[in-house]
Amino acid sequence: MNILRTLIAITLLVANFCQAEIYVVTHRDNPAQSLNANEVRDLYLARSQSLPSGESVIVYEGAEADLRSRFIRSALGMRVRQFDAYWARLIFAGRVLPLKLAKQESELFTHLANNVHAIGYSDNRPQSDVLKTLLVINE
Amino acid sequence: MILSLPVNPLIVKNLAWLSRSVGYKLLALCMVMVTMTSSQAAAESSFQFSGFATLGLTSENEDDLGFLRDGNQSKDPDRDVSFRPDSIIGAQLSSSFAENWRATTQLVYRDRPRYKLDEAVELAFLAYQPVSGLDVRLGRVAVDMFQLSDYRRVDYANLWVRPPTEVYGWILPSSIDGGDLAYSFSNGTGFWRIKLQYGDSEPILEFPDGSTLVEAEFNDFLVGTVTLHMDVWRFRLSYSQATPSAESFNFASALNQVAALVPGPVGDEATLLANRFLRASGKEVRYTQASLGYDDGNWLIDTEFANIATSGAIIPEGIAGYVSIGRRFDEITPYVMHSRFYTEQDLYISNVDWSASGFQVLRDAAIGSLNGVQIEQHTYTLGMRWDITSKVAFKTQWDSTHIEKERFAIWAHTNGRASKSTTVDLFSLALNIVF
Repeated sequence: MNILRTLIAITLLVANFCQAEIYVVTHRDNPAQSLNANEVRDLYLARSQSLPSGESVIVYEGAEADLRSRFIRSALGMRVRQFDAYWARLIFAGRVLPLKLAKQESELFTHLANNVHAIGYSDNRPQSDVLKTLLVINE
Repeated sequence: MILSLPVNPLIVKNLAWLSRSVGYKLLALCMVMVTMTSSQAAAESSFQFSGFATLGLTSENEDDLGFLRDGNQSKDPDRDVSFRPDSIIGAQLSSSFAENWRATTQLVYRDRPRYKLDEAVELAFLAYQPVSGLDVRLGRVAVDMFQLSDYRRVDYANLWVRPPTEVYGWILPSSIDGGDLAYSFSNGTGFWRIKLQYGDSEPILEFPDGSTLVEAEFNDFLVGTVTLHMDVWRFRLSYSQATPSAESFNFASALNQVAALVPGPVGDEATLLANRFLRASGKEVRYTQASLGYDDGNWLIDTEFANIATSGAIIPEGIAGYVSIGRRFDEITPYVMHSRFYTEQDLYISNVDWSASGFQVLRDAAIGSLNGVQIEQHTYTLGMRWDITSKVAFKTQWDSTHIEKERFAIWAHTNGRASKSTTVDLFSLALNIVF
């Protein structure tokens, strides 16, 4: 019986993991209503510093290692070390400023709520009316 | 407001002149801007401090031969085990002080023939983005000649302990005072970036035995690059040209005096040598480069080739390139690489006996400076990178380098050491950090 319960628990956990989603979030007044996967990729690889509408954008990434790793793999198709080396090249070549860092989700949501140009990602759908989701990434 | 900037070489040249003539003021301005915005930054986070460092140890097994990572490091032929070639620390301040405007200053402390603040400043520029995708930078910018030129000293960003010296070890200018214009865009093919640079550089170097400091100049440096990122592939083509000069290397005047004083074969050879130095004046050097990279997260393949040509300048001339393959296993990435520099220059060999003339030292110095720029060597490399954290990497590497005789230009060596070829084993350990 115990074995059966354990198996069910593992199955539920795996199912939950497989259905995990990451939300790309911004302020509700941001002119963008949605972004596609390529547009998010271009922003996080500094290939673009503005939204498709031309509005400037401030890009945040999370400090939480597991979420960051999942986002880099799912949204950018890269390994974390690959992404880190890529950004070291951009920063020290003087091409762009580093991505902004939010140490935790609450801090990220505060930044997003206070700046209409800011975008970031979270594995929790934002509950606040001040925020909206631009893209849902299925892992 | 959108600022229209036509790509006119005259304007670029005038901007470069402006940058040179107010170089220190521009640098000071960048510093002041960064500093002034720092207080504002506390509220708006527009101020960024970043840095990189390497603690590196190298060991080679040859007497009278010292390893150099860059031609513009201090040269000590007796150096066998040392922290000097690879160890470095760099600090960078950047500020986005107004919408679409940035200022960046980067200071680097590393092994050099001399230490002056101006030479420690690798980057100091103002950047403006008038429209999305278009970047204009004015000030001191990294010279973008080859694939890794922009970040060749940021070892964390590269797979190996250092970029292959056959391609990167002889490049003297690392930055230019001038500016650049880059346009980036994505289309159905991939992400494109087209860049033009113009400026001047004044690198310093030492004689191979470390005895004399030489102040060189690379004027009218013009660089054009096209890069394409396509999924896991990266392509790059570039063309650069500059006019190098180094007064200390110019023996023409002294040789002409010898020609006037000593008739016969010695005088004739003095004239011949003097003309060779005179012919070098104002001659351009041209660099053509192509590279291909592949990184799918597991496999990393990089290859780069460059052709260096001149119609008379006294610089290394030939074909350089490397091929590297690495494989990521989680945090560990073993790699192999082969790199080569093949010279297209002939050695100047004298058959005239100058011993009775009293000017043999001058002849040896003149011929030494002509032949001393030549490179012909190849290296087999085996190494491993361990990514300890997202900011720290440890690397270990073994290089076996075969150097042809009289083609020792990217090594520190004593007089006469270059007269026979050799194979050098170089062992390296490096701890790379970014912060």
